[in-house]
Amino acid sequence: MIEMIIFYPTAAIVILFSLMVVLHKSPIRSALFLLGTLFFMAFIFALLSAHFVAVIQILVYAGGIIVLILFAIMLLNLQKEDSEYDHISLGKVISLGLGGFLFLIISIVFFKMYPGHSSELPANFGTIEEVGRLMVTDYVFAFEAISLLIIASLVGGVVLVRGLINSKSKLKKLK
Amino acid sequence: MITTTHYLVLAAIIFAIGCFGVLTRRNLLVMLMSVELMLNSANLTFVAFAKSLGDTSGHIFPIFIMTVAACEVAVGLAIIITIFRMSKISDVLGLTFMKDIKSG
Repeated sequence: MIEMIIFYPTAAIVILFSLMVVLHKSPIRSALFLLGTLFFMAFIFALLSAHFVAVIQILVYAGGIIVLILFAIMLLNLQKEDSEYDHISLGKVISLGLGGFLFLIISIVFFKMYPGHSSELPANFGTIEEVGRLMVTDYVFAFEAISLLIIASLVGGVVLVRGLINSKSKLKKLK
Repeated sequence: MITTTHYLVLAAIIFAIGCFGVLTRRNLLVMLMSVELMLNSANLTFVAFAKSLGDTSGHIFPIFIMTVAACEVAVGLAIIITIFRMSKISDVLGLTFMKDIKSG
């Protein structure tokens, strides 16, 4: 009963906010609505007794990714896109149809393969202890591979942004 | 009674919205945000199935997906900033420099 009271409003807010992310003209408002979507999604994770995932969701997305996107928008000084919303083009109708078709396929698959609802969960389900134990025992190889990916993307980001500065200074030297 | 199917259908709706965003928006940053939405709906599916099957392994993958999303945003924003510094373009339709590169 309490699950129902929490689930329906949260799901409605998540759907509304994610629609606003896609439809709003200004990128900075889209980023703020994305923050709201991810925040309320963390509620749903907590409802599914995935407490650690919910906390990590707020920490990583709200604290890291959204702040990074907001900084990029402020750095780029983007304008509102006005020309994009003047008319409904054929491409938009096709995309809407494609999105709806995808949703239909996914929900048909979900209704067909209804998984059995397990009545009792293990006592340590979703705790930080259990998740951490699994991460360094069963999934230790994936854990190490992910850390390698982080290093690679860090180096890649620095190289991408620095490379331009170097080439500009080389051009100045040539002149 | 909220069953697993409710969560899965919510995830499907958010995935479809994200897909629509990637297909229609022409701003690179908003496309990146729509991809984040799609990744998050995949997280929701993993967590819903983890609860339904009573297996904590389903909680490991959302954490890995979040890590991959963070890497993707870092590299993606670096690319967007580089493109914007080079040509002041934030519209996907304007990105045609690959066509202008002379081969050989």
